[in-house]
Amino acid sequence: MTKHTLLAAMLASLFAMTQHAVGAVTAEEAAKLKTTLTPLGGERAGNKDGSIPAWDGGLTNMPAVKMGPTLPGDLFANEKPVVQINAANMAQYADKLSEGVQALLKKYPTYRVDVYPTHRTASAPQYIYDNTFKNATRANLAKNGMSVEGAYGGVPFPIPKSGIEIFWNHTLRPQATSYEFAFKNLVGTADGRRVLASQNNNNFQYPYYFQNGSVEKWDGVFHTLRFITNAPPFKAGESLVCRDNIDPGQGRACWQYLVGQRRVRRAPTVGYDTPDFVASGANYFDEAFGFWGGPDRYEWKLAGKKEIYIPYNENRFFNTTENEAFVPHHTNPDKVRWELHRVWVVEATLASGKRHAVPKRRFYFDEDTYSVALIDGFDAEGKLWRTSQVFPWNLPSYPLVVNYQSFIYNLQADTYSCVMCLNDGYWRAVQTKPDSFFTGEALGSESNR
Amino acid sequence: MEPINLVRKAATPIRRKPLVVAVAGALSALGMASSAMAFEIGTGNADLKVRWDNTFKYTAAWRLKDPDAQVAQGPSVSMGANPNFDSGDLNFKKGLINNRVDWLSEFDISMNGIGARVSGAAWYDDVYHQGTDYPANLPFPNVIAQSGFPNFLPNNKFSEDTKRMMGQKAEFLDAFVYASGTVGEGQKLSGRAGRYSLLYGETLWMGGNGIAGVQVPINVIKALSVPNVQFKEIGLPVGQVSGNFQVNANLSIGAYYQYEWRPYRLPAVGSYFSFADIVGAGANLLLVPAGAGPVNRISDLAGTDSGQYGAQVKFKLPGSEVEYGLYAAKYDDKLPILVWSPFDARGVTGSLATGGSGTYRAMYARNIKHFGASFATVVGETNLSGEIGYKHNVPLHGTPGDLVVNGLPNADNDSNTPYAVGNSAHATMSIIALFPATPLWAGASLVAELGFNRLLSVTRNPVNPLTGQGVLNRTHTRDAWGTRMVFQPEYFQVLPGLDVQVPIGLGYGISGRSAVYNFAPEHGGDLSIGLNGEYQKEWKAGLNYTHYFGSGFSIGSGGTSTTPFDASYANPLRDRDFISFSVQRTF
Repeated sequence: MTKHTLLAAMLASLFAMTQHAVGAVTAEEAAKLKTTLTPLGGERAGNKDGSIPAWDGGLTNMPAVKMGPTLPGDLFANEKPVVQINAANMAQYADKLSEGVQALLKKYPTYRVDVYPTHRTASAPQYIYDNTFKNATRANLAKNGMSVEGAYGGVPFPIPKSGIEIFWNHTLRPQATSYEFAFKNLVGTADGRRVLASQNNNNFQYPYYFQNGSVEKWDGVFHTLRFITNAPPFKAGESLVCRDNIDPGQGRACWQYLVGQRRVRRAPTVGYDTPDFVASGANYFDEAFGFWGGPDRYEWKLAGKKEIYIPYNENRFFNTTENEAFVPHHTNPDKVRWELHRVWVVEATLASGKRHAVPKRRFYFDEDTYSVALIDGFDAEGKLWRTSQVFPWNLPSYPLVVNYQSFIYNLQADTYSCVMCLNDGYWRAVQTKPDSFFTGEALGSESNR
Repeated sequence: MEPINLVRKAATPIRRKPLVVAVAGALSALGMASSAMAFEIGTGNADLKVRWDNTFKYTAAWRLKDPDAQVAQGPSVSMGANPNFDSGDLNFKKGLINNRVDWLSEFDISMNGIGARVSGAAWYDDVYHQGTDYPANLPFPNVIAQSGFPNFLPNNKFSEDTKRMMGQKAEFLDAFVYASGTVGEGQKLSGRAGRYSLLYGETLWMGGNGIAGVQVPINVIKALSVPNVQFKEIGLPVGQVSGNFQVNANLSIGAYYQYEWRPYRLPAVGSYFSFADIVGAGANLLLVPAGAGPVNRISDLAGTDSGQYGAQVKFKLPGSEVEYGLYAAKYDDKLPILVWSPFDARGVTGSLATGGSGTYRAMYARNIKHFGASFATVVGETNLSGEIGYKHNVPLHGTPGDLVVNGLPNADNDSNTPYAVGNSAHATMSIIALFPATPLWAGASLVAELGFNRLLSVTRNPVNPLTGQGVLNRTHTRDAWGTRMVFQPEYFQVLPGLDVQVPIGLGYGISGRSAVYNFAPEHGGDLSIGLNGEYQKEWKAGLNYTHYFGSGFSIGSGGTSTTPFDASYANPLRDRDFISFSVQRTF
């Protein structure tokens, strides 16, 4: 081995070690979260031409709004689109449209992007702001970026420096502690119809966001979920419990209830590119909830920040009945609200030695919430194949922007999937449930079909 | 075997005309009406949930080849034909074997963790309302009128019991109440009472090799007629109470007590999947191989409605994701043992000693103990589970192919058994793996199970009065291995709204002939390939081909005339390959 390569190897390993501990910023930098940055880490200032306004407290400064059929009502019901983009005029807005959105405009003459005035509604309860501020100086990547340590109860890396930190910001994004909701998974077929893949009652709980918890007390389980299927009738009674652990050695553990025998079985591979059996295989498991993936299959590269149109403040959409919310092949453009927001662009490419059906993905993360907003997925030939959209909506009473409801368009198969569509369903925050509620055993002993 | 190729009886063409058209029409009419129907019934109270689901299914199935005389009658032609095992095979020539409509109705009501469930099934199969193809020149009756001899039922008709069981029946399945709630700090208590299936352990198909088979009698008719059906779908609900106490996320304790005993539901005599004429609905006649004459059946010695209970502990060790289970249960066997008492003077023809042939009856062994342990985990991306068990006082007649010849005057199914008993060890291992998309499929799954058992000791082996030897068959081996697996590629949105699955299944007896629980015919089994479609998530349809392989003989008469009472462990379905088509919809 020559001197140079030895030196390079030493430097590389040194670099790897510093990489390991990367995450926390200095106290001076963290102080920006109280000045130039929002409490969660977005840029407080607006953009040059004012089309993105400054953040001024989010939902806490909004007027009260009545409850709609499913969700709190639309805060901006009286607004009209400032721009309507379709296949004919899309060229002049191309720099503000993701590749996936452009592809949809080209593919479907009925597709349209109605741009409304931007409202930076991102908000969270004060304890989440406080924890985020603490995380800025104490949270670090661990296990080669595959885990996080020293974070609790807030965005782990509010001043992110790398793609993988933003992935974790998304994965640990601010959440209501415990809530239940009824949702539908819908599949749009190539001939323009809609099929109900499943209708479910669901509980989500975030031990990472318990108000009385702490870094020390937290056991690493950041998200637990449990749902039961009500329709279609032949799937009624199917149910699933999942527990996501920050320790990649434990990762995601799911249990499936086996209808008819009142026992459960540990489910293999609920994640990555396994076809999502809850959505009839119309999307991969990691495309649920925006992005529900482990990070390990990809290299995450931060490509910078950009101003683009993304779906935002979508209470109106989910307060619309399913029949009105969709038109053949896609969501009803009359009901969808697009806004100009700053996003983090992160390129994910297949890590060496790993496999995934989607070898390359481009993620757009909302700067204010860290939730993924759009994902473009490319096939092995590098051709755009699938594109995801997350529809965030507001919960002013909490205050919180909730971002789970996702639409995955398969541009090659001409199908789409809505995962956790709330239309005609309900959503409500609930008292924290005992942890044992989110176990396979509880599922087995309490299920009756 | 000349007699089998007979001219078709006049009655048969009628049953060859499928109901497909009429049923499809009826179903589509229902489908049109259903768009306004709701499965979940509005109650005006958000906490009160009521739902009523009804599934209608039409099935048609066809036998692919005419019966093979040798398979139907067994190997020992020198003994004469084997009339105790042949009618399921000989009753059907190539052609329609099922022309059936099923209705499954499920009603659930619940409020705040308390609820009830009632379900029921009804079916009608036109095939069993027609005549049989049984060759007219074979003199052997399959059943007799119970009242006396010689009122043999003609072989060109299904017995009334068979007609009822296979052709036209309605019954309740589940009927139970339940409650669950939180006690103390996050501890959960739940309980059920009524008629339902409860399964412990980790077995998938080989429930009989684990704790699950202890708890649930099996509907063997369904097990044989639905390819690759899992154990969970073939259990018959029994009356019981059970509870589960979840101490914390890592520890739970459960127990059950069964106040009802039910036997296996074996194929009715002469029905397509029937492998014996001496057991199952309609069985009342044993034709003795020795030729002493017909033997009538007397009342069963059944299991008890008070002797079955068990418990489990499930736990995880700190820092480990492996789930463990420990099980203990006492039970009465649900699979019959056929016992011929040649010297029983109660026989219609009297005792063998006076020139008659005695009686026969089904006995269900009592007071068996089972102890087991299991684990379940995920290795890489595959679910891996295993279960081991030990059975004490288990009967050693694991297939109904044995005919126990009883010489004891006061034989019973408790301590003075005419059949052999012993102790055995069992192990079962299974995997469930999901595969991501490849150019060959959009998704795929592999479910596979491997089972093993060993006869540890024989604690009782009464003497067969006719041979002077023990009744334990001489055809068994100490160890047996079996496997079953299904590989299922899936294709989504093949046509708009249509998802397709292609299940490929194999059940195989790797080696050995178990006296305790036999997995499959030795070196034989079944191979199937199906094409299942789900349209709009509303309609389900399936086409399936099943092929049986291995040495094909009747299950009885051991393979040689020197073991006339011993199970053959052959594949009695060897010549019964079939294809089936079904379509169903739930409303």
